[in-house]
Amino acid sequence: MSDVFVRFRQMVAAVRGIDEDRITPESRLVEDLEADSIDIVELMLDAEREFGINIEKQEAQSLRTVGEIVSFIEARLAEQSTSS
Amino acid sequence: MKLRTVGITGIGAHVPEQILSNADLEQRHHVSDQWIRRRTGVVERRICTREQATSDLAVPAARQALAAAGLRPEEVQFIITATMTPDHLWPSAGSTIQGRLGAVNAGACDLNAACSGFVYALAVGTQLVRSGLYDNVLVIGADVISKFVDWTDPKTYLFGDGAGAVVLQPIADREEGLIDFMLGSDGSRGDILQLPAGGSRRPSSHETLDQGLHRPVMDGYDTFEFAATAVMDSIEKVLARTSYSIEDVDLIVPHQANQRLFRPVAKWLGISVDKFFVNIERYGNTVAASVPIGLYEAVHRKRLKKGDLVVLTAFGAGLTWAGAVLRWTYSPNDGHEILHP
Repeated sequence: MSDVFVRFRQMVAAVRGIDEDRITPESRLVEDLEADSIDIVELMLDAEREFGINIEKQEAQSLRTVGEIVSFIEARLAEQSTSS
Repeated sequence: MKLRTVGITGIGAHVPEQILSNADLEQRHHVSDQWIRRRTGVVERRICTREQATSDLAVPAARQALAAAGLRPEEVQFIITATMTPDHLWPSAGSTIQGRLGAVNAGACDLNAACSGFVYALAVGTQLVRSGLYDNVLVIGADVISKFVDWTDPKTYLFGDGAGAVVLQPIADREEGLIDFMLGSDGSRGDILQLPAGGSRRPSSHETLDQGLHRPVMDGYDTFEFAATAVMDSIEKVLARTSYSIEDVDLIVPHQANQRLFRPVAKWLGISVDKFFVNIERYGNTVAASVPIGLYEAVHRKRLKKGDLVVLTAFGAGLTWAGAVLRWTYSPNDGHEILHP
C-alpha cells in the first residue's frame, strides 16, 4: 500500500465517519462510500492541503474510485518533483 | 488627529413570522427532510409574506438596536444597509428605512457585497465613527432572498429571510471594540454566484422571464470550494492584522451559508467546531442578515459576553469575503427577548 493511499484513506474515513477497513482502492466514493457532492469537495480540499497540489473541478469530477484519486495525486506529485 | 475606539453598543434582529419547514417542502416538492438536513443543516427558515419586503424586517431590527443603545431615531447620523434585495432597485433600502424610522438627521445608503455585506458595512461604519465624523451610526444587514429564488430548485432550500442591526458609537480605548477588518473580492469569478437578469446588462423583459434569467445561478462545487477557502482566508488574514491568534478567539460568528462548511474549516484551523456559532437550523442562509442575527442570538443565548474576543467571517456573491476581529462590548439589559426560543 502506498503512502499516499494510507494518508488519503485516513481522510476519507474521517470525512465519511467510517472505518478505514471499509475503504479499498476499488471503493467508489459515491456508490460504495455514500459520499455526497459536499464530501467530495471537502476531500479534494483536504488532499490539496495535505499533499500541496492543485486539483481542478473537472479533474475531481472525473475521478470515481479511491484508487483513481490516489493515482491522480501520485502523478501530480511526480510532475511537481520533476518540474522543480 | 487621534482615531477613536468604536464599539457595538446596541443590537437588534427580526425575522418574519411565517415558518417554512423541511416538512412543508417535503409536501410540496419531491425532497426529504433528511436530504435537506444532511446537505445544509437547515430544518426550517422564515419567509416573508407576499406583501412584506426588506425594509419591513430591517425597521423593527433597527428600532430594537436603537432602543438597546438608548438612542432616539433623530440622534442617528448615518445608516448603512447591507442588502442585495432592497425593496426597490432604487431608492436604496437605506433611505427607505431612514424615512420609516424617522431618522430625520441621518444620511443613508445601501452597500451590496451580497452575503459579505454586513461585515463590509461594519468596516465602513466603524471608520465613520473612528475618524470622528459621526458619533451614532446604524449598520443593518437585511435580505428577503425568498422572493428571488426558485423553490422547485433544491439548491434554494438553504435560504431564509431576515434582518439584523447594530449601533456603532465611540467607546473607551481599553474596551478595544471593533479591532480590525479584512475585505476581499474576486470579480473574475463572479459568474459562479449570479442573478443574471434585472440589472442594466440584461434588463427585465418578456425574454429574460421566459428564459428563467431572474433566478440565481449557483454552481454547487465551485461555491462550496470558494466558501471553505474564503472562511479560512478571512479568519487567517484578519487575525494576522492584529496581535491575536486563533487560540485567543472565544467565538467565531460566521455567515450561515451551510452547516457543512464548519467541520472542515475547524479541522484546517486546528480548533474545535464548537468555536463556530451556528443557528442555520432555524433560519437558513439569510444572506447579509446572517451575521448580525448570529451575533444577536449568541449574545442572548449567553454564548457571547462582554470582554469576549470575536471573529466574524462572511463570503458570498461578487465574489466577496470579509473578516472582522472585535472585543465584545455590549450586554443586553433585561427585557430583550431572544429571537425565537
